[in-house]
Parts: sequence; C-alpha cells; structure tokens
Amino acid sequence: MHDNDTFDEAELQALTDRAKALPRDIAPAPEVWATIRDRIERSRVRTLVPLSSTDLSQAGVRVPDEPSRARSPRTLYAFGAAAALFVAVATLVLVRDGADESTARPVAVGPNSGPLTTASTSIESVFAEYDQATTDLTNDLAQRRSRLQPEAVAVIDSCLTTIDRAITESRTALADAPDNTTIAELLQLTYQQKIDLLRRAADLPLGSL
Amino acid sequence: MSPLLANQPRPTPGAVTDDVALAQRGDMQAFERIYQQHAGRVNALCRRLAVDVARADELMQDVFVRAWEKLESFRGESSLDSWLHRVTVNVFLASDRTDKRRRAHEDTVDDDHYALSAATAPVDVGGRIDLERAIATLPPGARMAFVMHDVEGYSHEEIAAMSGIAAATVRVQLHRARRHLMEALG
Amino acid sequence: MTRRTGVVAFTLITLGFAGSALPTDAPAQQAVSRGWPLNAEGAVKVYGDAGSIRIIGWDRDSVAVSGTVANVAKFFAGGDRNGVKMGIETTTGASKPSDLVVRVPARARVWVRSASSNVDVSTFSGALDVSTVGGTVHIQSTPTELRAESMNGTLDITASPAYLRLKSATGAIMWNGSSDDVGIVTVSGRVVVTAGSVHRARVETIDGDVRFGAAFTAKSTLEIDTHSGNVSLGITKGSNAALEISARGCDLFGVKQGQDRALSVAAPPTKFYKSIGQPLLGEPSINIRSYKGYVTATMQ
Repeated sequence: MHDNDTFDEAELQALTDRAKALPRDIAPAPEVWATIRDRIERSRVRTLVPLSSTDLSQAGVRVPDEPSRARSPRTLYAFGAAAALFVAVATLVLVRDGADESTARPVAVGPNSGPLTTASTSIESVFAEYDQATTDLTNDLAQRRSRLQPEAVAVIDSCLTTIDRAITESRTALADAPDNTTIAELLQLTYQQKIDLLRRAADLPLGSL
Repeated sequence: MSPLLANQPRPTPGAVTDDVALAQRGDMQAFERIYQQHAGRVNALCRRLAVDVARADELMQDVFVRAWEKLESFRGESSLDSWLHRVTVNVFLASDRTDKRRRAHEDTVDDDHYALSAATAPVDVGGRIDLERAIATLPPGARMAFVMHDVEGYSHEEIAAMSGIAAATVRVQLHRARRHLMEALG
Repeated sequence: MTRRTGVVAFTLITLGFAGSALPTDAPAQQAVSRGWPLNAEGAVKVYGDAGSIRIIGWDRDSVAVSGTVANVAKFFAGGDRNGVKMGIETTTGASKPSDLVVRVPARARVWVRSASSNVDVSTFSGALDVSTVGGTVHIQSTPTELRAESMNGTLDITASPAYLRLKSATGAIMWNGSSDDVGIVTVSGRVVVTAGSVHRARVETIDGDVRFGAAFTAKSTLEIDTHSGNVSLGITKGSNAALEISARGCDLFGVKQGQDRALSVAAPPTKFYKSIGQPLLGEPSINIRSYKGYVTATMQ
C-alpha cells in the first residue's frame, strides 16, 4: 500500500470513531505537580552566562606556531584573572533574597523585591571584580601604549571611551532598578567587550598600524 | 504610519484569565490552579505521545515547566488548552529529535519503523484490539499526527502551525498512521 | 579534475642588497615568487604588515606566493607538506606596502594575520581565519568556516559558511550570506547583514547600529544586544518568528495588526512582543535588547 491509497470508508469511519471516543482527560499522578513546582523553583535562580563572544585568537586552524610576542607576566596574570572571572560568572547563580513566592519570577521585571544577589555575594561585587580585571589590563596597555602606532591607540581609546560611558550609564540605571535583569545582562556584556578589547590591544604587534 | 507600541496600555484580561495574568507576573499559586484545571487534558496527550507512563510523566513536567517559562507570550488568541497542547507538541518533538541524535550514534534510525514487538503489540481483549496500544506502536511523527487529528480533533493546518511541520507532511503521516492502525486492528 | 601533485619549482629572487652603497635608481620594491608542496587540507599561515594580501584557492596540492615586497621589509617563509608559514616583517622604520598573492589548495586551512594589510580572499572553500588591525577584509568565497577580525578596518564578507564569527572595534561589518551559526561583535562599528537564512545568530554592539535582514524559520534564533545602538530588522515575508524586543521604542512596519502587547516597566527599556507567522512555542526566536536605542522591524 502507498501513501496515496484510499481507505475503505466504513473502516476509516470506525477507526476515527474509536479515536474520538478515547478519553481526552486523564488525571496525572499526584506527585507530578510537586516535581513541576520544584523544577520551577530551582529555575527561579538566574545564571549570568557569558555570551558566545568567540575569542578569535583561538584559531580552529591547526597551523605552525606563531611568532611569540613578548607579554609581561602581569598581562598573563590579567588574562588569567579575566578568564577566571568568566568562569566564575558563567557559574554564578543569582538568588533573590527573601523571594516572595507569590511575586518573584525569574524573567519579568516585577515589584521591587530587593537586589539580585548571589548565594554568597552581591551583583555589585561581581562588577567590582570586572572593574579589577579591566584595571589590570588597562595598566598593561598603558605600559605598551607608547610603542603602539598612534592610530591604533586612537582606536582603542575611542572604544574604551564608548564602553566606559555605557558602563557608567548602565550601572547608574541598575542602581535605580536593581531588579532589571535586562540592564544587568547588557552591562555584563559591556564588561566582556571591554575585557576583550583590552586583550586584543595587548595582542597588538608593537608598531601596529 | 506604523503603530507605535510604546503608548499602548496593558490589555485587560479577556481570553487571558485572571489566573493567567497572575501567573504571568510570577504567582505560583495561580499557576498551580492553571495546572489543576488543565493537567488532565495535557496528560492525556502526553500519555499517547510518549507511549509509556514514565516518559509521559517526564513529558508532563517538561511541558508545564516550559509553559511557566513561556507564559508571558500567551496573549489569549487561542484557548489555553490549545496553547498548552502546542507547547506539548513542541516539547515532544524536541525530545524526539534529541533521542534521534542519540540513537543515530547507536544504530540506524528508521523514521518509518512501526514497532510490533511482543512487548508493544496490541492486546486482544475480548476480541477487540486495544487502540491505545496500537497507537503506541506508531513512530513518533505518525503518532503525533494521529493523536492530534483523530483523537484531539485539530485540523492538518492547526497541527502544522503547532509543530512547524508542513501540512502536507502531516497529511502523509496521518495517512500512514491510519493505514497501520487499520491493519493492526484488522 | 585530476589533482596534480608534486613539487612546483619556483625561482627565489634574493631580497636585500650587497655592498655599502645603494644605486641611486634602486627599485623601491623587490619581487617575490616561491612555491611549496602542500597537502590538499594543509595549513597556511600568512603574516602581513602593510599593503595587501590576496588569497586565492586553486586545485593544486601546492602553495604559490608572488608579489612585491618593500625594500624596508623582509619576506620569510618555510614549512612542509602539512603546513607552510610565510610573511612580511618590516625591518626598519615605518611600514611600506608589500603586496602578496598567495595561491593555496582550495580546501586548505588558512590563517592570516596583518597589521594594516588589506586582505582579499576568493575561490576558497576551506577554513579561514583572518585578522587585521587597520586593513579591510574582503571575502567573496565559500569557506566552510570563517573567522574575520579587524580593529578599524571594514569587514566586507560575502560567504555562507556553516560557522561564522566576525569582530571589529570600530570597523563596519557587512555580511551577505547564510549560515547555521553566526556571531558578530563590535564596539562601534556599523553592522549590516543581508542574510538568506540563519539558524542561530547573535550580534553584540555597544553603540554600533545594526541592520539585520534575513528569512527566519520557526527554528531560527536571532539575538541582538546593544547598549545604545539602533536596530533595524528586516523580516522576509513567510518567516515565522516570535519577537521579543526591549528598547526605548519600537516601530513595526508591514506587520499585521494583531494582539500586540506592550509591557510597560518602571524603567526603560520597554518590552514588546509580536508573533510573525507561526512561531513555535518553546523554541528560540528573535530577541532584541537595546538599552538606549530604538528598534524598527519591517516585513519585506
């Protein structure tokens, strides 16, 4: 038989009648709701996850070793700190303090139920860590600045000005609306862009541009 | 001139019930009331899509957790039952895709495999073949098409809209399902 | 076509000068012409300085480089059948332009690093990774995967790799093609995407404006995040998507009036929802967030 074959009408009618007669309401087991509720409660925590801003220096192309560029140990430390921060933030879990079950919801901007907090630290301290990581990278850039091409320095400075302005605006807004997860996540992305830019700047060949 | 949405007021509940509106703002008790009201309808669909009870319970959980996450997008243009059925179909198909990818590493996946093993063969009870058991032997796509169309009463187009599967494909799957079931019930 | 193998012999022209006095009519540049055998999927790494680098894919199991190198620069190269490395290093003073044309096996893995060289890639279908600081990158090709990065140079890409990553600081990013997995990141660059179809795409800017046009299936995902950039979204007719937009304001053109809902929040951005066609529930869709910018969505 093929997909275009026709059925005996009486047979088909009998089948569809039996299908229609099947119960369309079957009570679930009593414990199902408890499991659903528990999963939803667990999902009320928000995880700040670094985005897929791919590190382009991680070339998927297998090539001979690139010429080494001298990096100060301080730069390597700053990179390591930034990487550790990414990992930390990737696993960071935010829990609403004293969440009222009737109002707290993970995604909506709801009533002001207090600032987003982690299990052990506040979001402010998270961004303070970002500030420290970017400060280390910025200091490293300062040491190399005079050896970079002026055009490259101008591009980096322009971008840092843009990014820092965005960070200031976002942090001000977040201070007024600490529950606003959209602003918090956009702020996190802005910090990540700053770290990425500073890392790229540290990777610029001397005399670049 | 295009509509500027910024100044539109929040719509008053109509098809969006009070419980839905409360749940959309994070009221878990309201969501539990929604669950109690609709769980039976959703569970019936889960039982028939997922074949065995354990997997049906898992599917139920996944459906309502997803419904909680996506409830903000419910705007009352359909009944909540239909909306929940839509979520059920999506979750079911997504899990089936995951299973397929896993099975692809183990053996050849045959979308047209109509299981009729001893464990799942329809049971002849008093001379009548158990339709539920026969439905369970259908492959996922055909099973979904038959359950949604012939049991739940959705049209081909509605099923296509819910599932993202072309209406023509739904028709083909339904035809195959009916053919298999009529042979099995023979 | 039968692939020819074997060593391709070229003449190496000596660079640099002997003696203590330069002839007064010495040429400003020296010619380069070299070649090496390379496996069909071997790796090629090219370092540039200033000027141009052109990558051309061909059907031979070899790498051939030709071009001109400024007198103040030095051409270096080496490798084996699995990988070849070559490039330009400026020996003294400011960079002077050098121009290289590098022919590579069409399915090789190519990696280009440049300070301000303009990079051009054509008829290439392997894996490609290009990074320049100030130069422009122009790719019209069919790489299987593509990464391209510039600080302030323009990325002008016409390609449909399965995997695509584009990044700039202030340089404009223009992409025309289709892809399964797209990531575009810039601080202030303007982003213009004319995509056939995308499966999963993500765009991030700080204040760069974004124009993104594509056909969206019910299974497509698009995320655009920007602090203050404006976003213009073009949705091909027949697309299926659920829009969720957080912005200062949002205009929808050509979209059927429906039960749109604006969810006002105490502080911007404001959230908007709109379904296009028949989106799947529980499936990813189009999510745009701009803290200070405006979003325009147009059905095309």
